[in-house]
Amino acid sequence: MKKFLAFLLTFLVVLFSFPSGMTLSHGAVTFKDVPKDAWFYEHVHYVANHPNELMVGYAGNFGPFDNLTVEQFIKITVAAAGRGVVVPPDKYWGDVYVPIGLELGFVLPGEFNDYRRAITRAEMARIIIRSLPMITGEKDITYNESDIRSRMADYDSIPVNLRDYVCKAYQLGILVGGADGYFRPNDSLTRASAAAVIHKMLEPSTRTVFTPPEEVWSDAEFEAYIRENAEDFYCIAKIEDRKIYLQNAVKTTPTLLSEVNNPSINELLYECAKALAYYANKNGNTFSLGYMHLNGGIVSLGYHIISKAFDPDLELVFFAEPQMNYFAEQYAPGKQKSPSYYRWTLGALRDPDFLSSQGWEPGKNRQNFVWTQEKHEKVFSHLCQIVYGPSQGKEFYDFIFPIYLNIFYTGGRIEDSYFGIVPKTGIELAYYYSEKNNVKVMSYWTTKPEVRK
Amino acid sequence: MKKAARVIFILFVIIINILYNCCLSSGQLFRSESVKGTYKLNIITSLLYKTEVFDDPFGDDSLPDGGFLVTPDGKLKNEKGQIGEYAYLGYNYDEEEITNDRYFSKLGRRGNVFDQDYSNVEWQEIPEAWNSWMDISQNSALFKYILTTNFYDDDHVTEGKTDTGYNLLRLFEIPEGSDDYTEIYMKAKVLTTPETGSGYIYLRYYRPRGRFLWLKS
Repeated sequence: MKKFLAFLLTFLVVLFSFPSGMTLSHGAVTFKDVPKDAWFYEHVHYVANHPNELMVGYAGNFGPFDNLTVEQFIKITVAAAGRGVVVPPDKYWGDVYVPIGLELGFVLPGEFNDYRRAITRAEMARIIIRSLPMITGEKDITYNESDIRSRMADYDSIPVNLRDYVCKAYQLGILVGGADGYFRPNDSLTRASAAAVIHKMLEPSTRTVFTPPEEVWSDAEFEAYIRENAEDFYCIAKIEDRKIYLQNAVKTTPTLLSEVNNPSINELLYECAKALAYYANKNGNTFSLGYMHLNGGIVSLGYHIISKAFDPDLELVFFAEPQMNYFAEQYAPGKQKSPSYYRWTLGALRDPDFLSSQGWEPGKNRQNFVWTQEKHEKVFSHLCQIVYGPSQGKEFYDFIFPIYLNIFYTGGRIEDSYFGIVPKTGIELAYYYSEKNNVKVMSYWTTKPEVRK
Repeated sequence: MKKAARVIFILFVIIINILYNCCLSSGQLFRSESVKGTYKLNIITSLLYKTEVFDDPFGDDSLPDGGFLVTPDGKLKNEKGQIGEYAYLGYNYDEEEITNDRYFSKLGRRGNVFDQDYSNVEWQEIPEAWNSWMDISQNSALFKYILTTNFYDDDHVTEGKTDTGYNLLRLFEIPEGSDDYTEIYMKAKVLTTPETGSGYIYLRYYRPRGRFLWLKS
């Protein structure tokens, strides 16, 4: 009988050493309610398979849309700090972990009346910042409060005693809020979102670090530059009230782009032109502005790495009347749903000798070479943030840049297209690239966001 | 019944004597490799043809004479050392083939496409054509020159020996005094502007039934 009980005990210990609900598949934990194509899949996979067992599921599920509680997050941070313990069978796990969290200083006595309630994002930020020195060694985090306030639409709704923690977590890119610019400090988190936050917390490379665009010229500096180089900007008839009046060889009367479809178009044109002129001047490149009086006006802003004698290496076209991507219309009819307000065309964002200086020769492994230069990427990134807003612009850039870069890695021998919304932006992208159909220009057409955020 | 749906292209040549500096001879920098790094600059071809060319000239087995035409006034040599013209000069910066007009114009199929007054042609829109006018619209003199200069056309009855008597304004029947050039912007794609010696303009039309055409596509 004793032998049987020993066997049963051993069996139960082994059985329950796996947290309930997990499925071991090829050594990795998976969950029925976490499909592979879910946005949170990689984060859940990370936390569920972490050696410190940061988050586990129940009954085969992860519960991605359940709220995360205070005690759950305390348990996660304690475990992440390597202070996890075996919970005695007669004890509730929360009653074990909360005291450890208090002992480590992740929470202070009296901060929470109820550890089983949902934790807010701001409260989560406090625990994150307190626990980080033990987890990643990060401490003494600095930030610019006025800068964060300017980017966070609901900054004032952060409880005053939690603002320092929120700013630090925001600065580190661990808790950054939505692409709409709202941080929502008093909202709770789903377990899926929590998994993403924890992933970022433990793996700095996955964080969403916001790098503010470079401070460019003042309006006065920009307009002085245009005046001094007027012969290079034939299409700029005049600038008044931060609006560029256009002209060309045919349309010689100063004209603004039609604002019927895009009320911000002239304002954005001014801002983009100012940024481009600044970077061109700084980097020793050239900036161009072309204007066609078709369809309410079309303007091309060009950034030329060598000179205007060649097509722009980075071109942004503004359509006053939105247009369809003509390559998409021809080869993928019906795929693009809405006409585009902007068209980006990218060439090689590198100096002429940049590749050669790395020893590049056709035939070598493309993956071993750097294909674009940071100073030129920065121009593109900055323009994206102007056109779509800081958050959405960054999301757009982060989405499109790898697609663009992949063309270099593959030598352009690819068939690629995308028709749909760029995640977290609300912007429709229509992009068609085909070696077979001789559509080789890297051009990306987009709608405009409803609100620039 | 609709005309044959196949889209074909023609090439117009505008011979220019205007005083625009040749960017190649004025010390303009060349780019050392094409946009995706696939091809290296071919400095000899670039200088010979006064345009930026990457990689070596090449022919095409599906073309007459394998895409290399032996001609005493040719600028290129083939593998056998013969003087002539290849069908393709190489690639442009965007890695698209550059057709060699000297090859195609020497094939002898001249003057059998267009009537004297182009009355047998229905010009088609080229969706991206307006884009090619963007730079030109910044230069009033160049813009007017391209619109008003009579062009040469190998496929016209003049066989490219003299100008056709047509310029773009006349070809598209733009009324005198009008500045509405929308039809030109939508149907004439400027391939190269005349700064380098000659300008090339691309037009597209549907092939009329029963006519023999040789055209590059």
